[in-house]
Order: sequence, then structure tokens, then C-alpha cells
Amino acid sequence: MRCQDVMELLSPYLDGALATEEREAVRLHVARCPKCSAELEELRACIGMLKELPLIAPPTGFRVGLMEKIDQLPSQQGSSKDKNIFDRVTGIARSSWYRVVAVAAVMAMAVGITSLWEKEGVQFLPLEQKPKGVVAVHEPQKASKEPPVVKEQQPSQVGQSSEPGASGSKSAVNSKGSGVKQPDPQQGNATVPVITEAVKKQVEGYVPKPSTGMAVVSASLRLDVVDIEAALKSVGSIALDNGGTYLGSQDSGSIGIKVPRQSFERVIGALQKLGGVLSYLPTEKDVSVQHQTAKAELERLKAEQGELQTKLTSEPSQELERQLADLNQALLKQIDTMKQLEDRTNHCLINITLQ
Amino acid sequence: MPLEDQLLVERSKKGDREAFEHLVQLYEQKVYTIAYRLMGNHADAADLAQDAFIKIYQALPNFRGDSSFSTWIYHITVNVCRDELRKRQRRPTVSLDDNNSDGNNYTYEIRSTAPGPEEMLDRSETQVMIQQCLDSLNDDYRTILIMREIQELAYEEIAEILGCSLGTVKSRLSRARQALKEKISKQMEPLSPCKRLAK
Repeated sequence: MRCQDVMELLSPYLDGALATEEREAVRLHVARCPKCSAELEELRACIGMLKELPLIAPPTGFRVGLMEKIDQLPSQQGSSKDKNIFDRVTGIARSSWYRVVAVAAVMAMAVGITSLWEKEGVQFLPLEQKPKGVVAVHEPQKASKEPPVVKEQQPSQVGQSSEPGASGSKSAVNSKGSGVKQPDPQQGNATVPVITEAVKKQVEGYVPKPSTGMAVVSASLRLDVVDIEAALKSVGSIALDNGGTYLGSQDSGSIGIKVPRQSFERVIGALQKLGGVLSYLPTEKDVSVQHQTAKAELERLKAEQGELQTKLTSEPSQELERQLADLNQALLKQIDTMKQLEDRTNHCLINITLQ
Repeated sequence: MPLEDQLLVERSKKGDREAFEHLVQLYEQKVYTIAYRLMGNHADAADLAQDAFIKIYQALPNFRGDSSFSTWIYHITVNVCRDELRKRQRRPTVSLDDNNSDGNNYTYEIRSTAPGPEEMLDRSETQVMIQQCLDSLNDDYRTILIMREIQELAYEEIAEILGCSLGTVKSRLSRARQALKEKISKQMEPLSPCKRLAK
């Protein structure tokens, strides 16, 4: 084996991707060729370096931003609703019934033109010589003998077909005649129950907390410490030890932490031991009324959603669909607002100034 | 697929937002890393990793579990980045501490196994250099190297994702590795003879 051939096989050789014979040939060549051996080692090192590249954490706020984008997406489960008009038209054009109807329509046009010629006294194509399918368009009484596809194209028969075998075309031609309880997949209202279902799950999955006594607690603490740097570190440790988070410092010597409500007193006690307390200002803001109002609004939206859903089932319309979609968005937003408010009552913000 | 993933995927398919967020949390690092290695800068990586997750979210109802969930999402990530690269048809520039295009100052962390400070500095320099070498390769080479060495995909999987034959995968990977080796050698030689490739 020549060096050039071996060089080309070194990469799959390293991956164990060569057949036994080739692998053995490469191994033997490398064992006695210093140049190829060095090449193999360099390649191996190079791959190793690439594999050693570390994982990189996404930037802060990445996930929050992503979920916001996802929340703004139209409901993914309403497939046909989400398609734009081009997609819908393309979908229709690709369907088999459309092709059949299109062929029949062209044939009908051809016959129409031919009959005009006949009226002017110039008979280009005698009736008895017309192809079967074409004749059926002009002779409804013979329809049963003709292929069902051509028969269904006749305007006079739209909405009256009762043949089970014709159902594939019926839904397309007879869209107005179909019952409300069997929504036509080509119509937007087919997706409404699905969207509502997804929202319903989120709405039902959320149980508001009792509003009574709900309050947002925060505090501002000013401490006189010997070593600011050391004290800052201690503040971070106290927060973490109590299940809280470090929010960062706004300026030198000032730091914000967020701790669970139940740890508040304990954290304040530990912080006060870090130095002399120059000032301590706890605040408790009653948000029970705010929460109660938000809860009432949520109930109102839910009731409105129920009414709209019922109305939409009996009178499907795009306007109602739009209203329902807006309402669903409002519902989810309301739940989000309430969750945020509840979260604020579960945690306390403490601002500590060290000097 | 791990049971946790399976449950989260099933719940996400049913529209459970929290379950999907949990999936994002599990895979965001790998997805982001792939996007970063392919694009070479954080702003693009953040945008495209988000785009990839959005595509994943939208395609989730069609995920049948024929491949592992991780392979499936990495596949989507690579495709999103490749589409973007094709659109641009130009080499991305490297910037390790850039600001995001939306104006937010993001902070970036590089995970490592906490070596000593000197080793850390040395390693970090090497990593930046490797990324620069990766960036200077053409898109096809960079993609196949990331798929093989970072995503650790089998030749067959790469062939399926790239829509080419096994033979093409072998030869392209071989050329890509060779090209990367040459770039790294060029970068390292002027620095110090002891920093040769073979450690």
C-alpha cells in the first residue's frame, strides 16, 4: 500500500470504519512508515482536541425568551388553521378529488363549447359519437350508467348525492350541505375545538391560591460591616443556604437577594449578624384585593369562553373563531399574571446595603 | 430514550408547556453548543438555537420515536444552522464576548472540569484557537466534523441527515479532518514547538 492510499484511509481507520483487510493493511503500513505514523498521531490528537471542546451554556434569558416566542405561536395542534392560504390551496390542488373534478370540469367546458357550435348550425361532433363521460353531463337521466365522478360534477346534482361510494367527492362539492357536527376539514372551524382543548388543559391545570392574607413581603437592610467583600460573600451564602437566589449587586456594597417567604425571618436574622444594623425597613404590601380581582377576571373570561364555544358550535364563523382565539390568549395571559403575582407572594426581595 | 424524556415528550405533545420547558432545560446546552460551533458566534447561536427549539416544538406531534429524541433534536439543530449558512453563503466571524443582536448583554459560561488556573488559561486559549480553525473551514467540513466529533453520530446517521452515501461521508470526513489538522498545525507552530499537536 502506498503512503498516499494510507493517508486517505487514516480517518476511517481511527473510527474503526474499515473492513478487516483494509484495517490490517493500514496497521501494518503505519507500523513501519514513520511519516504515516506521525500523520496518524497528529490526526488522532486533532480529533481529541475537537472532542474536548466544552459544552457552552446558553446566555442568561435564553429559555425565557424562547418560551415567550413559543407562547406567541399559533396553536400547533390546529394544523389546517395554521396553514396559510397558499398552503391550503396547494393542499387542495394536491388532493385526488381535486384532480378528478378538474378533469371533469375541463371536459364539461369542452362539451359546452361544442354545443354552442351546434346551435349555430355547424355540427362538428354528432351527439351519438360523443365519448360516454361527456354525454353524461348533458343527460342527467343517464347518470346512473356513467362513472360517478362525471355525474357529480353536474350542478343540478350538487347536494343530492346519496351514494356511499361518492363520499370522497361529496365532501368537496357539497361543503355547504354538510352538517355542523361534521366540520369540513377544508374549513377553519375544524381546528377550534383543538385549540380550546389545549387552552382548557392549561386553564384547568391552574388552581388559583386563596386570596385571603396574600401579601408581598420585602425588606431593605443597611449594615455596617468590617469587610465589605467578605460580607457580600456571606450574604450570597445565606441566600443560597435558605433556598434563595442572588440577584446581583446594583452598585458596590449593595446587593439584592430573593428568598422563599418561609425563610424570610431566618434570613433577616442571619443577615443582621453580619454587622451593625444601621437601618431595617421591612414592608408588607397587601395584594389580596389585587389577587381577588384577577381571579374574578379569570372567571369572567372562562365563562365568556364557554359561551363563545357554544355559539361557535351552533353558528361557525371566522369572526367567532377569531374572537375565541383572542379570548384564549387573554385567558392564558391572565393565568400568567396571576402566577407571577402568586410567585411574588411566595418569595421576598431583600435589598442589603453594606458600608 | 430515557424514561424522563419519554414522559416529557408525551406531555409536551399534549400541549403541556411546562413539560416542554423542562425538555428545553435538559437539551439547551447541547443544542446551543452545536449552534455555536457551527455558527462561530454567540448572537447567531442564540437565535438559531431558539429557532431550532421552535421547530422542535412544532414538529413534536410528528415525533414517533424511531430515532432517539436527542438524535432527532440535534438533527433539527444542524439543519436549522445549515439552512442559515446556505442563506448567507459567507463565513461567520468569531466573537466570544459579543452582545446579542437584540441588545441584551448576555453572560456566557464555559463548562469545564475545573482545572488549575494555568491549565485553565492554556485550555481556554486552545479552545478559542480550535473554534477559530473550525470557523475557517468551509461549511460542509465544519458541519461534518461537528456531527462526528461533537454530536458523536455514526457514519450511517450522518449519511441519513446529510442525504448522501456512506462513501461520501467517509471521504468528506477524511478531508475535513485533514483540513482541520493543517489549520491547527499552522496556528500552533509559531507559538511554541512544545505545543505540537501530539500531546
